[in-house]
Amino acid sequence: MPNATETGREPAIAVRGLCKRFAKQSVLEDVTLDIQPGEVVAVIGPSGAGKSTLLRCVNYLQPFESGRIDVLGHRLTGTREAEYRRPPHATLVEIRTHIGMVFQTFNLFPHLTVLQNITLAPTEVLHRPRAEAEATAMELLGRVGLRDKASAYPRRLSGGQQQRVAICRALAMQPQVMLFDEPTSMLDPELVGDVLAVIRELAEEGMTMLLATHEMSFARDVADTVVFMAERRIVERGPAREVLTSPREPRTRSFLRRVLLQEGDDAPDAPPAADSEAVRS
Amino acid sequence: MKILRLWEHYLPRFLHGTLITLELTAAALALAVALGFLTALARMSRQGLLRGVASTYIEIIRATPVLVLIILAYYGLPQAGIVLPGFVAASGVLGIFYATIYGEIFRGGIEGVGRGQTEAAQALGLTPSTTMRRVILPQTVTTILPPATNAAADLVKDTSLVVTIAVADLMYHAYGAASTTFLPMDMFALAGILYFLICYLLSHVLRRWEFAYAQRH
Repeated sequence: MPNATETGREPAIAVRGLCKRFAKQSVLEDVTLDIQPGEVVAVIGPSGAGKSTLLRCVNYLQPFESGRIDVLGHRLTGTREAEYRRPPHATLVEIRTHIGMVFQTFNLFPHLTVLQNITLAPTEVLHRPRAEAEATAMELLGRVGLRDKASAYPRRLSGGQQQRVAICRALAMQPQVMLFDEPTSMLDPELVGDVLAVIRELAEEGMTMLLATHEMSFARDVADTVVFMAERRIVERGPAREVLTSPREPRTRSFLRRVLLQEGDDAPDAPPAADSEAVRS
Repeated sequence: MKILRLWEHYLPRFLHGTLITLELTAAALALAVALGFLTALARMSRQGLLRGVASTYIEIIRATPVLVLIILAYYGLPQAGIVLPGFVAASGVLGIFYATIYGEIFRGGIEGVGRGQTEAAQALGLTPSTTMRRVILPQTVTTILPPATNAAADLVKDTSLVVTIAVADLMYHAYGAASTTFLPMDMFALAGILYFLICYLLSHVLRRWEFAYAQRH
């Protein structure tokens, strides 16, 4: 059972009894989870466990049937799909402005340059002056080592570069929380490291993060808390090292055994050199 | 070359008719694109009622010959007290008919843009209208332009149906000249050449535009 962290502070995200179904198929059952400001929570578990759906409920990309989510002072409550008790539009915009999301498939806008991808939301949603938005974007691109790609179109970039741009795009809104939905599972193995390095840096800066991942060693190194999900529920939750090295639940244990076996002996603990990609391009 | 002298004699009024044909096309196209876009949005709406209205509209209109609709609008509506000038009735009906075609073209284009694009825009806090304007529509241009060009060429040809309600378009003048000269072949050949030129130029220009757009992106 999830146990609340004893910081006494208001959680950044509080999920209570969240249930979600697609048509008749249940995908989340009674999920309860707190994320404290500055906490990095990694959600692990087999495909179909509901990791992505959980993340997508937090910024309401996915409406849900019952339970509630308190996020940054706003409350999202369950509603049946057919009904129109959705949250007011302004609330959704407010929530989404403060929560950045990074997708498995990057989802960069292919008709816009890297710079335009990053400045679109700051200029359209926050009404920042273009020059200011561009300055921020260039600074962010500098941090992820892609300054020289500002005027390139996404299709010219490698997957790893695209994902780093996608992270910049989310960060340009100066979010208080970041959601990462399996950010490296579509990447070639040699490109994973550069993306993880960026996420790691964010974690060290104290960004509140909820990330679904298959990278166990990364979860162990970067996350404060690991949540193991299986069959639509949270099975186990605890400090990252504890859950990953000495899990209490048998299901967690068997999952980890299988995953670590697959990763094999050559599973890299440290990410590859940060400039591995620059060499290729 | 008797035929050339004959064409020369009739060309001015044929060109005048061509102008009317172009005006009809422009008016109908403007209506078709605007109404078509709304139809596409309605068909993709979350509101069942809107979806129902839009698909009923499309089914009824597309299953009825344009000629029947033109005649109904021009000769039928006055019985209900609505008297429309021929040009208005004709461009209105053609616009409403082609809106169903453009609606489906737009819907296809919009649905062809991956769901992930909408989600990325939503996650950034963009409103639905900004998402449509800045993210979705620009990505549909290359998929929409070819079928939209074909439909526009079809529309040009379908304007010839207005001859039935005595709008003085190209076809109208061809009929007139054919019956006064008793040389229908010569006259309809000239009309055919002019229709061909309009359609050819139209698709040529749009294809150039399409190519230029694709090059830029």
